[in-house]
Amino acid sequence: MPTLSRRDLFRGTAAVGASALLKPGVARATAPSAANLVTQVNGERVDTPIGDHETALELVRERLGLTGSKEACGHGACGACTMLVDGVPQVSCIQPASHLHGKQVVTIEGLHHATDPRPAGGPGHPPHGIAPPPSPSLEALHPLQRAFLAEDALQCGYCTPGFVVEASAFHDAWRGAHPVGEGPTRAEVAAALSGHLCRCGAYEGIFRAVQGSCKGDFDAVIPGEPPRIDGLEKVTGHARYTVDVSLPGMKEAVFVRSPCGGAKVAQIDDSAARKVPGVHGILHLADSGATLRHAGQPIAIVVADDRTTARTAARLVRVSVNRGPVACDIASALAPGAPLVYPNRGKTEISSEMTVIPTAWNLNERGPLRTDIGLAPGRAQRAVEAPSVDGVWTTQAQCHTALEPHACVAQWEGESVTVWASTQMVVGLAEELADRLRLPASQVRVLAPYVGGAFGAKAAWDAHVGFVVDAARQLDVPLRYVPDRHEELLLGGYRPPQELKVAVAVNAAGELDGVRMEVRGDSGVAVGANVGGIMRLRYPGAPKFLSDYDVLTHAPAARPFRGPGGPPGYFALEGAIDQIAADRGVSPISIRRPWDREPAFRRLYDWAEGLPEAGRYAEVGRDTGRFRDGVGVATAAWYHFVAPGIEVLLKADSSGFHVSTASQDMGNGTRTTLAQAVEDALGVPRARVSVRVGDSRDVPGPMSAGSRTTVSVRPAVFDAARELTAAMLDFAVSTWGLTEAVVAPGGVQHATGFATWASIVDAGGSFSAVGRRRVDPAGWAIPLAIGGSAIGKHSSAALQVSLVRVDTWLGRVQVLKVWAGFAVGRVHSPVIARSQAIGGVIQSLGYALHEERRLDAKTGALLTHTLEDYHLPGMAESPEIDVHFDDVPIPGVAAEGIGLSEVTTCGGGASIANAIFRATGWRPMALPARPDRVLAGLKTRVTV
Amino acid sequence: MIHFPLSPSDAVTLHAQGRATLRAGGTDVVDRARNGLLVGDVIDLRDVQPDAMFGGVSSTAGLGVPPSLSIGALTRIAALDVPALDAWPGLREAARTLATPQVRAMATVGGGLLQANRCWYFRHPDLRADCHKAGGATCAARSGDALRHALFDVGPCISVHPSTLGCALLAYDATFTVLEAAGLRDAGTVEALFGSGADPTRDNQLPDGAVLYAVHVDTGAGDRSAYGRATGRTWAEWPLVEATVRVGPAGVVIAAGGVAPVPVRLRVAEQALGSGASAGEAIHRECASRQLLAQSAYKVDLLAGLVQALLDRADRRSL
Ligand SMILES: Cc1cc2nc3c(=O)[nH]c(=O)nc-3n(C[C@H](O)[C@H](O)[C@H](O)COP(=O)(O)OP(=O)(O)OC[C@H]3O[C@@H](n4cnc5c(N)ncnc54)[C@H](O)[C@@H]3O)c2cc1C
Ligand code: FES
Ligand code: FES
Repeated sequence: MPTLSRRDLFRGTAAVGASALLKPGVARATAPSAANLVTQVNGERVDTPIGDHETALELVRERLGLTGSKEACGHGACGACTMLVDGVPQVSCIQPASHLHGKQVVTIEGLHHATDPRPAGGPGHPPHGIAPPPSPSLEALHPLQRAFLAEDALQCGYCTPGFVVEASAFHDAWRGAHPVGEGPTRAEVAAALSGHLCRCGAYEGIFRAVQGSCKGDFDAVIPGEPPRIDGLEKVTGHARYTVDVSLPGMKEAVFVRSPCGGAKVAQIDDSAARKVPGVHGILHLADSGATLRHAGQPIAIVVADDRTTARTAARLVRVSVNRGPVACDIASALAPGAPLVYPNRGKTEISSEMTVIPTAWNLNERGPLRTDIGLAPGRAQRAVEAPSVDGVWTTQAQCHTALEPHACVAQWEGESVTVWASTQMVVGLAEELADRLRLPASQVRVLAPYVGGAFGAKAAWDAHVGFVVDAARQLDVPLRYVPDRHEELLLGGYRPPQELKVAVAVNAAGELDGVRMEVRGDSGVAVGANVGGIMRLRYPGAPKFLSDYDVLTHAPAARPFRGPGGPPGYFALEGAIDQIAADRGVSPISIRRPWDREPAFRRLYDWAEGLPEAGRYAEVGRDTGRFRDGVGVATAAWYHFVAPGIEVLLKADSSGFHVSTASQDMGNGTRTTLAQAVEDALGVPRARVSVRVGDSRDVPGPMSAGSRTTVSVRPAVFDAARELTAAMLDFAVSTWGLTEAVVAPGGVQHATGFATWASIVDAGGSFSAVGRRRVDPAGWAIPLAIGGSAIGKHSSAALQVSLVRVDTWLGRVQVLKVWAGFAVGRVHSPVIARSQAIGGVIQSLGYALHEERRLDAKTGALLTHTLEDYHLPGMAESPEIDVHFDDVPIPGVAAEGIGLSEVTTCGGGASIANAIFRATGWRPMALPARPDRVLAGLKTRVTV
Repeated sequence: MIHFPLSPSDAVTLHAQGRATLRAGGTDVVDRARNGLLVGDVIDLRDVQPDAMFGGVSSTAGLGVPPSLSIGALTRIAALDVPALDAWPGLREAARTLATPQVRAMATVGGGLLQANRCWYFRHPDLRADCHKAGGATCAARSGDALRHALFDVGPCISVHPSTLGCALLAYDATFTVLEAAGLRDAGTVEALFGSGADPTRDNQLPDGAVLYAVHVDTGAGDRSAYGRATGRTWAEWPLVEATVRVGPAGVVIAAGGVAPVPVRLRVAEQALGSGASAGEAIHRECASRQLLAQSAYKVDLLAGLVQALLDRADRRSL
């Protein structure tokens, strides 16, 4: 055998090693600072100076005004900022801008560039102003973009540009190597898109879109309208969110925040920060001596030319604080001698979307709040003296962490202010601002063009909006604030951790004799973590003792999170019932059947019993060996909330049909719902309807929370349509002298023919009508609306069956398949509704298995401050999800249907936890069911 | 200010001069700079014209000599997922498992080995003031929340080393070459590049002023091997534990990550396996020989399960 050394083999190395190249010497040819970058972006040449640590994302968004690429995590974990660099998808938020030198860069705006004659929004597009460039035509889109539209592979659309860019490259590579008709597997797609996260949980649609387009299904334009009317803007990167708003002369704000809770401000020294070039001003928001209850409380706001400068300066603001002890979880806040979060009582923040009822307050504990009026609590108490099951369930803080942070932009003109905000309540925010600024409502305008997810976190007053508006006024500049992911995870809201003591008694005859739930919730410095109010709804007729306590801790305020109180409550209650069913060897369906008299639940039970895995519902611990499968069942119910009195403006003129309301679309599909309602009410095609939401100046629409948007705006559109069509009829009759004219779908039927609405408006008529959400025919369950919200009769019902696989070696739980059934009455936009339901299921999966906020117990600072540490479910976590709508009209309810958003997220965690029990014989009593917990839990079982 | 050296020697000259930070793919450097962990000049390797050794993968597999592999520090991690690495399946697997496709397309092998740890105290602007690795003198995780931290108590800092490639290369007894002001030199084993983990002030022991030039794998070609990790999710999650196992004529080699401030060889377990112990027994013996940290004690079982799974997978692997 020849003896060759490694060096000899790696040809060139030895030679180079000896060459001058490797001789140390004086560095030559190093371009000093103010580096210049020359590159091609979407086919156009860019030549610009760049900063040392400037990222490729900052370059395209800030310098070039190409705002389609989004920043969500800012550290490489979510993929929202993905661009093609020489054809290869790369995350741009951790890509040095310098590395684009000499490359061909394609952003989302350039994907369709090659074929579309219309401008692509290349770098020439001015960064200022909010008017989006025109969207390309469907024909000009990449097939993958068409697939995303057709499969509704998106909701809020914030993650969409990143997914589309990456998936288009995957598509192109796939097509190059495979014949038409051959698509990738789910696992292949999941691996290829493993660098992307979607908080709305649009994964099912994304799988279908990628698989379908790879097979060639979307090579041509699919006839018909895409299901979501603002989808085109989202798949092309043209949708402008608050973070994308850029105004001439605009400055950027960064907050200096408290490093810990339980402290007082000692001193603030901003002298070094003020000297940083580009700093426009620093305003103090807390004085020396101010109380800092939780980490992240605002102390100062730094305003500078750009975010990097503001961030650098903010780091130079020296804040000294006097630290005290903190209590950051329920146990430490209740321990003897625990530091008090509110030593002098006073006003707390509120984490609930419902009115918080006054109750007793003892040290860090506030309560009990009893929600069992009329439910025979005494009987329940007696019944559970001999409980069938009795245990303590605990849950974690789940952060909303919408991919668009709580951004806002403020611009003053004289005594009037316009605020762009990523909010789910343009009206509420405008009112609140006017109130605080002591301005007439007409001088405050709130705009929420596109909203990148919310989930309840954007339905309350945000202190930072007030500070930004103030600073913009004081410094006389338009001002933008975009929280980073750390701030968003810390302050952007979370579902409160709960400790649920639950006892359930089922008698020998199988009757539910009593439920007792004593629940403690930790909303941080806020109160309002209520579970009992939701648990009232389930198993009506059973005696219940329901008692909630708020435990105050040195954590930021919780926010209502999609189905607040539902996921933890059902995790415990449905877990307890599952345990009883298992103990008695009966199926989890048959044990519940006698307790539910409503037809909706009965139909869901029938549906569930017809599912492929129905034979396994009663099984526990069938499998042995490393991987064990189990099927879990859980149910949930939710309220029928309505925003009574909200209005919708409907107009018709020669330019078409226009519907507007001061509501917003955070991915829930408000725009589509409105257009669909106009189509259904007037019989004009959706394509002729223009929709405007997200402007507080429009007629007052609903806050998008509490599952009430659709059920509120749709009847209001019908209300407006009645008036509008009557006016159009009059016009037609008087203009053309029609006889026997009556309103019919699509126009006016008269003695000699049919006049379409289009022909009537083309004849010069111009009409408008305001419609209102009126009370349901059946009335409300409670006669008055509280906080803009009425509770209607009936409730929604959900049943989720989950098939899981537990890896008993690595403690990992994988959800293989979900069947989710929902009874919400009529479903008017089934595609949108399905997307929303799937999103709810995925969020509940994250809750059950992966998501968990962790705070440092000594300081209250956030440990899980990135999307690497805070674990959102990704593509591969998304099981196949079959959604079943029990599409049966609900009598006495306007539009025959009730809200969907919240009930979809309520039973999933319970269903998965129950499935883990069914797989292993070990019942998770704490969420999330992390690998360490699964391994520890399995040890408590005798394993085979 | 950014320097753009055109050659490796220019880079090392600049690097030896002072406190500037080398930037390869930049995926970690950019993040740390924004986070306030890095200040000062940048030496961006963008314009360096790498020679075959600094910037590529060379394999002698199939050339009729004992197969060996050399990987330049500037090689993108994505470039390791190629058939040339099939003789070292554990390494190829590691390279296609870590991070995300977009990160692997940008990140380099050198950066992957020399990246800073991800401890949630170290990376937290308000929690790292006293952290060993940020110039302080304590470890906040030790008395704090160390759920995902080290299992083996080998030094004052209990962060876990982030490098997946480090874990894989350790299992192949890899060595490395550095370029210093004085020129190129073979600098020892990758195991020595990381050290024992006792030094709490740094994530690796690369000599000051040196540029990592290449890593070399001269052994293990054709051995059955496998890389894997234990995580909550399927992809793109930092491992709770990760391991590479290699079964060769001389016995079993196990390297583990997620258990110590450096990737570590589990030599006690290797010996135990050699004398017929089960994976579970072997890992328990390894752990019994070490000082363990209480909060992450669950990692013992995780490691045992993972090593068993990897041995099974390596076993099934046909070459
Ligand atoms: C979401 C996400 C998940 C991740 N998961 C994983 C994972 O599972 N496993 C894993 O290993 N990594 C993971 N990473 C980290 C990733 O692998 C590193 O960021 C990357 O490898 C760093 O390479 P780079 O070329 O970008 O390094 P840079 O950021 O350029 O440099 C990193 C460090 O190495 C130094 N350096 C770089 N090259 C040299 C050289 N030739 N000589 C001397 N010093 C040098 C730099 O000065 C710097 O200190 C993940 C990252 C992200 C964003
Ligand atoms: S913003 Fe770049 S990966 Fe998340
Ligand atoms: S659609 Fe993916 S984050 Fe909203």
